[in-house]
Amino acid sequence: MIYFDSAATTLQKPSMVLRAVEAAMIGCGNPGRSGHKAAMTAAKTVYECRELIAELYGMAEPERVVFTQNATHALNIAIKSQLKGGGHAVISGYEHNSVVRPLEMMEGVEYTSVSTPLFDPDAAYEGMTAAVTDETKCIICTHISNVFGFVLPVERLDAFCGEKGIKLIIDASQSAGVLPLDMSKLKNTAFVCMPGHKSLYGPQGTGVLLCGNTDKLYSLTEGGTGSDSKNLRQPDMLPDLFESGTLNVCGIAGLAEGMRFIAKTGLGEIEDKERRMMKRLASGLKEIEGVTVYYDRINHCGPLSITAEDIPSEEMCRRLADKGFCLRGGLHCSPLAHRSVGTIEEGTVRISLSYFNNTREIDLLTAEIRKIMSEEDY
Amino acid sequence: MGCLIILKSITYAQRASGLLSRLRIPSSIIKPPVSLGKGSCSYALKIKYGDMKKAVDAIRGANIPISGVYTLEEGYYREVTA
Repeated sequence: MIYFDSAATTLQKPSMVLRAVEAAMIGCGNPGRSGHKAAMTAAKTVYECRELIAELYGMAEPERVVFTQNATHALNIAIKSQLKGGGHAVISGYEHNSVVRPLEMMEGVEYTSVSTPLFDPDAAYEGMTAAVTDETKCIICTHISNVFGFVLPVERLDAFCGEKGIKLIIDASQSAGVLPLDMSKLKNTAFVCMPGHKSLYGPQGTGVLLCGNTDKLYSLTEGGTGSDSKNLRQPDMLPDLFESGTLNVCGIAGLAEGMRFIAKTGLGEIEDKERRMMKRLASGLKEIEGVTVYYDRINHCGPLSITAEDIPSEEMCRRLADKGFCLRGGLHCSPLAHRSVGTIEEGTVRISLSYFNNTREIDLLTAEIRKIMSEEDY
Repeated sequence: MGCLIILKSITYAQRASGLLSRLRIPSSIIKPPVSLGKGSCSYALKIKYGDMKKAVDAIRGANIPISGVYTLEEGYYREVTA
């Protein structure tokens, strides 16, 4: 099996991730509830992970790192905090349904989706900033499109939000563990949302909400936090406000090892390796007749989409799966992105790498797609 | 004589403990009696009495809220204004 579906979840993890999950299952109690050894071991495990994430993102206060179930959970907290009571949001034309669906469901909330050309960050910036009105409370923007790997100009949008007195929410689902973000410089970013199980190499069931410069914090779930227990109201301090109930300590233990792997390897090395492999893949695929490759040398990072003439994306993925390749076809839960690019009817074949892929695997995939296309008489 | 610095949550206690560690002030995190946490569950940093002022100043300087400071002498807790 050759795995190219890391934009959904990374399958190959650093070996220490697995060991840490097992160790936590054996040795970790419930953090923040008791003072015995098992509880304190769990608390140490969780806090170390907070510190590692805070360090990677330039945050001085680890308590502003909140653990969630996944990026969708984090985005729901972020969006519902920022837009509680209604208001207007501007979103890019490349947002995932985990942004669009909460907006659709919120009463009194309106949003403008700004469709702009692929791999044109200037157009995305101009379009989104032009859509801001006096009613706009926030801009919500993905750092990297989960379909096309388009890197959006979130730093410039943060600066714009400062000029307008509004907030930015960043969906870092595809960039976390690959591209840097410095929260100490993102002065107008209220929240950054990310999964733990993709390029941070943690287990599934882990997500992270970074709480930046905002006082609009609204819990979706209330309950026991192990703190301020006499108070019948939810505590307003972080991370307790957003972490009711028992945490996924085993998952967080694994995530901590994923974070240590990233710190040891270096974001720059990870990005360079993935970009080199992606350039090789895109170059190879572009030579195949009938294949359209959505790639840009500068403004692309992460997932690569292709379409094949006369072969629907799901059919291409099925044929590749028969040969042992794991890829995803269809719309990737991002219809807006496909409307922006014009691939909404059949979707795309998405090829997404991790640090653990290699050039041999890329060449094998390229050769298999070439073979499939030749069988179609191209 | 020891000293307990009461903090509202395990996360605050851990951050404060790390801060003191960087200042070479030894501390351990314990669960204090509920009564010391003003009737709510909390965590405390146990430190030496002689480190109390420096520790409290450092924790407050890092904007970590302190719920109370107590000395522990011969088994009795006494709230102090540090």
